[in-house]
Amino acid sequence: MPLFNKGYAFGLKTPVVLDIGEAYTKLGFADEAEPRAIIPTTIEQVGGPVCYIFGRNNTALLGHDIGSDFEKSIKLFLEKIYFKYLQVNPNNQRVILCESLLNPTKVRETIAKVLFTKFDVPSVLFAPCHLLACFTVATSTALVLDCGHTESVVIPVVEGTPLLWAWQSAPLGGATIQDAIMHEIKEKGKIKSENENLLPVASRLCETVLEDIKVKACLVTEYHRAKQIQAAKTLELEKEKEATSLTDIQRPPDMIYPIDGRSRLFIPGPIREEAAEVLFEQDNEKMSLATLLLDSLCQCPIDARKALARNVLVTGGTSLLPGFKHRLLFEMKEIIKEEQRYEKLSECEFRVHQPPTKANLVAWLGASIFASLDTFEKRSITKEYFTQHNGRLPDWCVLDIKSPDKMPERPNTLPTGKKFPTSHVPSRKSTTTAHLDTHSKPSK
Amino acid sequence: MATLLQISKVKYLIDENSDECDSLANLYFCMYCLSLRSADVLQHEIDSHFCPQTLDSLSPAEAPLKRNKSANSWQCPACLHPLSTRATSTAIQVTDDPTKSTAKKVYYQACTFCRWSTRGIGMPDKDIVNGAWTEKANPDVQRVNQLLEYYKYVAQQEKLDQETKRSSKKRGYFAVAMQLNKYGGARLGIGGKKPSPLTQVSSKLGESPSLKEVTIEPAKTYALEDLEPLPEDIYHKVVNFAKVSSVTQRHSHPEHQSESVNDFWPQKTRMFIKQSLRCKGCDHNIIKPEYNASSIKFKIHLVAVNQIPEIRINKVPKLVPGESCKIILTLVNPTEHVLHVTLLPHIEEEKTQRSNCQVELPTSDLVLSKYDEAAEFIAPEGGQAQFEDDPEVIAYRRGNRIGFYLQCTPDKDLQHGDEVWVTFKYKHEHYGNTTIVALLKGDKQQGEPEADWLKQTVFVNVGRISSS
Repeated sequence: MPLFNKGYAFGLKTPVVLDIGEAYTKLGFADEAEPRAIIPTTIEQVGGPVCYIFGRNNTALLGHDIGSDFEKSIKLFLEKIYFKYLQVNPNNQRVILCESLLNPTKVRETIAKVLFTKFDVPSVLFAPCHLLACFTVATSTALVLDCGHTESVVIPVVEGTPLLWAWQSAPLGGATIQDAIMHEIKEKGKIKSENENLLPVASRLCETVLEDIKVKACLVTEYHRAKQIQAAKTLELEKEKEATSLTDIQRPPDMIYPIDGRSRLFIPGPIREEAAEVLFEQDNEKMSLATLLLDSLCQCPIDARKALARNVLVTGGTSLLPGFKHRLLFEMKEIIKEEQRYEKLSECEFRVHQPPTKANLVAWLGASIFASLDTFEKRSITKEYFTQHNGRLPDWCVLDIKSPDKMPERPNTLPTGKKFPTSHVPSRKSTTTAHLDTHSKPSK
Repeated sequence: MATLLQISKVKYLIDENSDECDSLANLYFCMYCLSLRSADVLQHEIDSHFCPQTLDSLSPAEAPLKRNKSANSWQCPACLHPLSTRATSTAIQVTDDPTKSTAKKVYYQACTFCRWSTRGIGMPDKDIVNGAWTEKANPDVQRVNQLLEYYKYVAQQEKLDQETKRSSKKRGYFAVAMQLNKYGGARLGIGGKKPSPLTQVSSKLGESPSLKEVTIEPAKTYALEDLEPLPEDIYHKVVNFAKVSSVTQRHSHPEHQSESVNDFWPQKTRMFIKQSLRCKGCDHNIIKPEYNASSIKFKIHLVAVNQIPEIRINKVPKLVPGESCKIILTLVNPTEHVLHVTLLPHIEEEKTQRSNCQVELPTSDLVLSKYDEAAEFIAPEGGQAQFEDDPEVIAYRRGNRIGFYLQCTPDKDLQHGDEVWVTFKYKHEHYGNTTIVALLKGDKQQGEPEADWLKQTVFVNVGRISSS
């Protein structure tokens, strides 16, 4: 505990800590052990449906111009955060935001613009969430996996510096599991309506129902079981008939989910353990969560690998699934044994951290710790700096923009594609550790 | 009500430069700057916090300390409905005589909506109504505090190092020792390794008397063997969806996120706030609610509908491209003064072209009688005689509102189903400022108040083209 009573220390200056995730946003104040609230990253429109700001269907982000629509939704969302949940005047508090290092520049600059112009915040700091996660386990070297809603990103952190060239990411996350559940239910699930008729599931179930099923029922099954299931499935495919070769292991019993008040949804039991398999099944490119970590490790400097392997840190809401960590370590161990390409990692001993909070709050807690330090103020970007530089922020490729006039022009459009444009793929040349010295290195 | 129904049809230009417009119902009027303001350009401020259940209010300085939580109001962890305290009596044994027992009043909390109660999770009943209930503490708070303390020390150390580096420019053994200390010291805490003798010496050299070293035990890591696999029986159990908590329920307790409904714990209700709005241009309050939580009144309430004469659509005939027609618009005076309104044409620039209709505006002044609260109960004929209305311009007059004709011709190139927008300006008197200033000064003599002339630009969606 700090020298003084926390209640007394809570001044108007306590920084606001935001972790805006794709599905859920964690919000609170610095120097606290838990966020004040976790809310879905949505805005409600009058008479319209609930809109996920970073959702897959949000056209504002997909288009070439992520201008006014996105800005408006960010503004509405921050308004909700400040006046409904945090209940403080935004113009007094500094802000720290946890961001993925792969976050498009346009998005972070729009958020900064809204915070500075509409809310008059004194300063903003964008800190990489993988680095912040290390603060929660008091280590400066860690291999951090962030398993979020639509994607998983691995970035190793060595001595307080994220090694961006060793990044790995895959579109595996909570949404992928939900898609798998939907796929299975459509094939095998049945709805029993009020008049006792069994109907197939015709239309797509709404996302909240799928999420509910995922959260309440799904688990990550044990390695050997998973292998047996996989083997049985391939056998089934080969024979192309209703094979009952799964008799040697007992499958989970079927489930009944109440839906629409009066109907019941019959869900086949195997979904429980099979839905999360998408994260660990290697796809055509031999990619799974475990290989992400291993590939990333292979690209790290050889003398940091052992230390990194001993400090695996798993964050993100999807990693809260029961059995996740056990399976991940097991999977890594087995893959190293089996595959030639990871032979050089056979010396490494993998150990996983247990941060002092829930996995979905790790980045938030790190930011809360970081923002409570004296050095935080110095590293933030002030409103003055922002206006002087025409709304541009320092970035890991544009380090410190010294003179406002000499800034390179940036095209006004985003390359087509999703949240992380390909132009952001970092190369060895463009990534220097100096970037982190400018605004996000931990104080060591 | 008519205003609210036409919210997307009649829009007022807020700012000449930004070309933004909105319905009058959504706008505010700063009577010091004499201009319309949208919620976007106003400074939102938190005025007071209050509990939605008990209506206790707190000042903005106090409330964050209490985590914006109400003191005595609790909510159900299952459905987030307010919990109500129930009283019941139990029999307790008298200590002297085991055969006798007396009745005692005890309290528990229950949700009237979903029937969840503190008894269901085995919480003991309380002897007093309020104050005995506590929230479940965060189990990790101790470790987090250690981390906070440790990193504060590291940050301070770093700051100190930079200062010493700046002050001592000479490079000798001392500076080298300082450098070593910097790296040695940082490692000390984490690795738990024994420092080399040189670092020990240097750390003594560089140690500042004011800074007490803080160490932290390194976080535990787990190998595969240390992790518990999922229990074997989990695969055979039937999932009861009612017994597992949902995401919303978990997220309402960020620090616990309990998976089972049996681990639920009552939680304090989050407070609500009253907001005031301030004009960024002149720093005057635009909206100021009364402090008292139970009051729905305002001290200052400068919304545009109460200050600016309002245009509404009354009657629109069939709109045909290129054909002139007469539409009736209503003009409403919300103020307590007789207002003179002059309609003016709106000359549009190329880029902001919004209107697609030619309009012929009446040239004469429109006179609006003042708003009278009692007007509804007095016979309507009384007021009308004092105004000489031109029947060519004025369609009707009723109390503080008039209907006037507008000759408009939709553009020829419009298609069936296209929206027709009419744009014009109007100039009107505004008295608000002078009377209030006079009141503030305490001037008793009621002379003729001075009026300001304000100009509004309005865009009216009169309807869609119907095929001829």
